[in-house]
This record gives sequence, structure tokens and C-alpha cells, in this order.
Amino acid sequence: MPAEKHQYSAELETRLAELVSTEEKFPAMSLRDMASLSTVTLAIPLIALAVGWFV
Amino acid sequence: MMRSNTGGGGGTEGSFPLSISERNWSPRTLFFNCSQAAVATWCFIIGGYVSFYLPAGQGTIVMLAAMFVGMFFVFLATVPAATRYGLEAVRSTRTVFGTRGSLFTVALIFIFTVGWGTTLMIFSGKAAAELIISMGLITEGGRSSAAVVSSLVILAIVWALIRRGPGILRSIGGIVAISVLTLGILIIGVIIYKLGWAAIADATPTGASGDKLLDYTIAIELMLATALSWWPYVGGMARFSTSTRKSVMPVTFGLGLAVAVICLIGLYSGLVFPDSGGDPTSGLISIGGIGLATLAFAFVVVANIGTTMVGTYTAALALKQQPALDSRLSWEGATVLATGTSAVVILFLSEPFFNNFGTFLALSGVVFGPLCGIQIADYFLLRKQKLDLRGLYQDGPGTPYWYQGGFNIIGFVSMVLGVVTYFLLLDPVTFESTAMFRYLTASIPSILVSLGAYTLLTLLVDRTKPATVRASVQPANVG
Repeated sequence: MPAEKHQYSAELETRLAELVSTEEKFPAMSLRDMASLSTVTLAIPLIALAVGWFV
Repeated sequence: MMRSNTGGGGGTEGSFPLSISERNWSPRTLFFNCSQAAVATWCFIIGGYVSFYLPAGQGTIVMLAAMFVGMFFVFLATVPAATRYGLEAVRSTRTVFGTRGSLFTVALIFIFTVGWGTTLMIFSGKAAAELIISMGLITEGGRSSAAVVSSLVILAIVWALIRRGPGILRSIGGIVAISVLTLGILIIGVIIYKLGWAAIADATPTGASGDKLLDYTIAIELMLATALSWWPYVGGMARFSTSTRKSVMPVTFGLGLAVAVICLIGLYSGLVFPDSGGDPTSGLISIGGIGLATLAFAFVVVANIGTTMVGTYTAALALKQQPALDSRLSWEGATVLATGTSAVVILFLSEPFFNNFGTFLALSGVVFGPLCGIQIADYFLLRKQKLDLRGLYQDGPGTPYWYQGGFNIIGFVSMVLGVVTYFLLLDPVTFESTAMFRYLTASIPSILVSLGAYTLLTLLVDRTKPATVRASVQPANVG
């Protein structure tokens, strides 16, 4: 078990080191992304729901 | 897919974060897997519920639009963190519930994904029994046994596929998604062609209350609950993508649009065959014979196998997020546990389980709505999209997400406040509602209450204990 635990820790550390060192490659969600999401999932659907009321 | 020799089982099948090389899904692969996960025969049942309240025209608009609105919250709660840090659902909730508190999420994910999968397997078995009886292969007396055996056979196929690991999702996701979307659109076309749009449009909903606004809002609420029920599934898939931007369309269209379109089958079937509850199989037999029923059955089997595979993957992955379980439970063992639980329910509790689908669906809105609110507040408002990745993999006092004894009480209090808000507006079992429900829905206020409570309480506590919220930069301690 100690050997397995050590191997587990070593592999986890390797992965974390890789991910932390490349963190800037994966940018945070930007305002542009938020605008795309809001248009597709809020603006257009809310207009559709308002129109749907009168159908 | 890389597989580890350690007990960890690698990133794709274990508790490790995904390495860069493992995060290799293109937007198209993500779309196909979202569609594969979402399109299943629960769409018939959901559409059938909406057909109680709204006619075809309004129902079509509400199903498409409200589904997208629900996806807004699910997306914000899950996808940005998943694509930036490669996190699945359980690990991502360590920040809001604490290291030990995230066990609550393991239970939620296991219950809901296995529950949904079980419902789909029972539905598949019932469809198979209907077809076998229609073909004259067995008598009516053998319906129940045929349904159970068929359910178990299809469940065994699911297990045989997913036991090999999630690589199967990538390799067959496209085939399954294209097949079910094509079959689903064919079925909609056949229903409209055989019955005529006028007959569908003129059909009146059988459960309408007479209060037009109430019926409209109940239908919206049903679709919001459907969208929120994707919460356990999204992180597990989106983490294979490396870009939030490139995930917007695949996730919202794969889980939102694809589902809403296939739900139309249930809506139209429920309206023109009022006793069907949205299931088109028997209606298709009556208007088109065995040929059309076989088409519907092919849809049922392919769609449900695809969805249950993703659900089983998510459930098994959730179990393995606990290091103690991860090192003791192989991937195959985790999938046996997930599908074995379904098999027990199919054998002993098939009917009561299936008959309470509506409650199960409504509970998704009750639970996952507040959870989304908390996660959005935590990730966007408090942490400004910055997590301590090492801290997420650390256990023990003094680690960044340990809080008090491994639990973040604020997360649980905010969750409870959101759930209470939901119940104050709508009883998810009886659908009895207060006057405000018709203007607000229940899910959206519960999301906003949880979001506000989590933000305010955390800021309040943070004044005295700044480390509660601030991301730590301590080195990993994985021993």
C-alpha cells in the first residue's frame, strides 16, 4: 500500500505541475463569451417566451 | 485515452485531473456527446407532461425557449471551471461545500444519474415488450416479464460498452447522436404527416387548469427543471474541452436544442394520443403498424443506451473522486456498482420507480437550481474565476477548501435557503403553487436566493476569516 500511495502521489503531482504551469493557456470566461452565452440562452429565448404568450 | 497503472485509474477514469493530452474533445465531439447524453426517451415523458398544460403552438415555443434559459445557469455553474481546470462535478463542489462536504455531491450525482439511467432502462424494456406483443411473439400475460428481461439485457449492453472506459463515448458518441437525432426528426415528420399539423395544433391539453398564465409557467418550470437536471452530466463531458468559448454552442445546443426538439415528439404524441403520456410507440402502431413502431423502438434503444452510458460514466467517476474509494475500486468495479444498482431497482421496484418520474424530474429543479446559484456566486463573484488547483486535491485541516471540519456550512445553509424558496413557491410533487409562482417560476428564484445568500454570508464571514474565501497557494500535500 505505501508504494501504491507513493505512486498515486507522484502521478498526481506530475499532473498538477503540468496543469499549473500551463494554466494561462486556458483563459477565464471572457465578456465576449458571456455575451454569446447570454444571447443564445437568455435574450433570444426570453423574446420567444414573450411572443409565445400571444400565440 | 491514457490509463494509469496506479490505483488512481488516471484522469479519465479516476480522481486525477485530466492531463493536457487527455483533454482532446473537439467542439463537434462535445456537441455529439452532449446530444448523446441528453436525447433519450425521457424527452417523450417530459413532452407528455407539457402536453397536459399547453397546446402544440405554445408548447413548441416554451419547450425550445425555456430549455435554453435553464442552460444559462447550468453552463455558468459547470462549464467555465470544467474547461479551465479540467474538473468534473464532484471536485468542482469542494470549493462550495468543502473537502468532506463534497461527499454530498457524490451522493447527489450517484442517485440522479443512476436514477435517470434506471428510468430509461425501464422505458426501453416496456417499449420492447410492446413491440414483442404487437408482433405476436408473446401474449399480454408475459408483458411484465418481457419488460424486465429486456431492460436487463439493454442494461448489460450499456455495462459492456462503458466498462472499457470513457474512450467509447468519444468513438461512438457521434454515431449515437446522429442516429437518434435522425430517428427523432423522422418520427416527428411521420406524426405530422400521418395526422396532419391541423389535428396536432387543434388538440387541447387535457390537464390545463383554465388559468392560462399558470399553465404557461408550469410548462416553463418543467423545462427549467429538465435543463437543471443536466448538472451532473455537464462537467464530466465539458472537462474534455479546453475552451469555454468553444463550448458555448456545443453544450447549449447539444443539451438544450437537441433535447427540446426531441421533446416535441412527446408533446405532439401527448396531445393527439392523450393516454400515451407522450410515448409515441403505441400511437405509431395504431397509425402505421409494426414498421413505424420498429422505427420508434430503434430510437428508444439507441438513445437510451447512449444516455445511460454517459450517466454510468458520470456516476462511476463521482464514486472515484474519493481517494479512499479510488484506490480500492477499479473502473470496472465502479461501473458494476452503478449498473448493479439499476438492475436491483429494475428487478424489484420497476413500476413504482417509473410511475414517479415526474417527482424525480421536479426534484432535479429543487436540488440543482440552488446548487447552480451557489457555484455561480463562488466561481464568478467571490473567486473571480480563480481556483487553487492544488488545493482541490489536498485533504486535511489547513488546506484551502477544508473550512470547518471539511465542511463549508455557508454552502449548505445557502443550499437549504434555495430549496426552501422553491417549496414556498411550488410543491414539486402535487404542483400546487402560490400566486407568485406564475410570475416568477420556482427554479429561478431559488437559484437567485442561493446565489445571494452564499455571496452575502461568505463576505460577512470573510471579514473575520479572510482565508475562508481566498484561494490558497499552498503546495500540494497528497500523502
